[in-house]
Amino acid sequence: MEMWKCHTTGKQLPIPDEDAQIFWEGCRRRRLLIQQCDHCGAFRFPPSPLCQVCLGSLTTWREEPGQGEVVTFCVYYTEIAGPAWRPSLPYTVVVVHLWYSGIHMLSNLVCDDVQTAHIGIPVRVGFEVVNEWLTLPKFFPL
Amino acid sequence: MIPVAIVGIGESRVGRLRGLSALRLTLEAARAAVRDAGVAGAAIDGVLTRNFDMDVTYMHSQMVAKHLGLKPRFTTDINLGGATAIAMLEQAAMLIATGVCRLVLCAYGENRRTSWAVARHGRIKMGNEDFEECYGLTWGMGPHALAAQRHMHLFGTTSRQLGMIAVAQRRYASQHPNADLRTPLSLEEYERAPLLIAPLRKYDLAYLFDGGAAFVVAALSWARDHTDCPVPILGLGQAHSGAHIGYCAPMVTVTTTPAQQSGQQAFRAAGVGPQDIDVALLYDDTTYGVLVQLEDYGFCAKGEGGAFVEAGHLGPEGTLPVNSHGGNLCQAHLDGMSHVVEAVRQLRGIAGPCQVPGATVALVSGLGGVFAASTTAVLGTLGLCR
Repeated sequence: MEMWKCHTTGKQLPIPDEDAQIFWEGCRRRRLLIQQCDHCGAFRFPPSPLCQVCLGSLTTWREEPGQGEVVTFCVYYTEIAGPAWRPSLPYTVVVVHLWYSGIHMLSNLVCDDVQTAHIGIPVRVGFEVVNEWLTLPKFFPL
Repeated sequence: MIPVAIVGIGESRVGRLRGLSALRLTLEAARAAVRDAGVAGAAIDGVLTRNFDMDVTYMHSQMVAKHLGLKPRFTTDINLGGATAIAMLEQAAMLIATGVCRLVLCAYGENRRTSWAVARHGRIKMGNEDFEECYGLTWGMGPHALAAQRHMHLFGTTSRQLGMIAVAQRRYASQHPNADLRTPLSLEEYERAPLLIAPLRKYDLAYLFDGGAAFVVAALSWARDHTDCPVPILGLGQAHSGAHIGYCAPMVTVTTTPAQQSGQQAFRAAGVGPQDIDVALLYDDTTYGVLVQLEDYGFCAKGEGGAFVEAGHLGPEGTLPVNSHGGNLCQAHLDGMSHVVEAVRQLRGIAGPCQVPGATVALVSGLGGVFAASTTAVLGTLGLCR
């Protein structure tokens, strides 16, 4: 399996860039901020410079309450993602449909038992501090 | 139909080939394809390549051309992930149809297996580092697991049915002269093997290989006059889902792929339908990828891929041989290049123990960036083989 270990030591962490800076700042403040196009009202995620529906530039970052339901999930039982993930095994990756903005967000489901994950279960967002500059949004069963 | 044909194919050795550079693998496959076409290297005036993932290189295709001693009329590298091979085919067809080139070489080789774990500068940015990898989702296989989960939830598809795909392809690979995983796989062994990314198990996933493959494309008129067994391209298609591998959520919350559209394009251009396909070379990062394409190409209805497989349609005794070379799962993972090479072997009738008797029409697919890009080619023989 070592052939998949393309990350050398630690877990891969996001590197905020010009387009995503506000999103990650929001996470540090425990807020889920999602872009909404000022022109046509479409929400989009991950952060992007233009609206994919109307090509509009003007955007407002809306606070997404972070409640939704699990649309699909998978469970990792092996450290394909790298040795830094071994202590986390097994872990669940979920795609959540968020009710306010309608976007799909991919993250982890935080739960003691991986059997908790089912398509359709309601979840809410929480925030996990990784280090002084990074906080990750994660989901918890309601 | 654009009147072009594949006139040469080539592959390097595949597997774990430490010490062989990605460039060498590319060049060996390219040379084999040029020789198979029966032309001098200098006759090649178009060169299409795929850039290296692990050593992204400036003007990559021009570098490959240089190492082949070529000064092409047109060269570029193309990256549509697993859809690249057929995108190359379509690009080559357009170059020939417009008269820009006469002979187009398409080549890709890389040593993903032996170089992937090595820390090097220039590893290509996949785009999913910031919103997927930080949650432990690994590009490629993770999204397939997410999509398979949804398919199982909606349609009752089972792991055992996916396993039948793995077993069928391994049977083919065990008879293929240039396959990496050759030991036969039983369904029991498949089910005993661990869940890696649930619901996908060990033998549901394609792994990394070292290797290279290439093909040469020419005008059909030239091919008729100069080669014994050209393989005409009957139809081509390309379609996109609107998503990118950088964020798979839109692709894994649905149970269809753009193969529905690219398949229809290729079938329409070729004037055939799924019932006319003698052998299908379906791009296979996972067994689920094969199953969803069986549905999306119309070999069975949406949601019935599991039942189709369970009825025994795949494999040497089935009605629809799939991946007669073993595919990415067992032969080699060359971003779909080997699927093109195998289709040509089948239609030339030189596939040996893997030969589908009387094969005259082949479907070849590519899926890039999980399910973001779908490419389809329908290849035929038109009775040209002497």
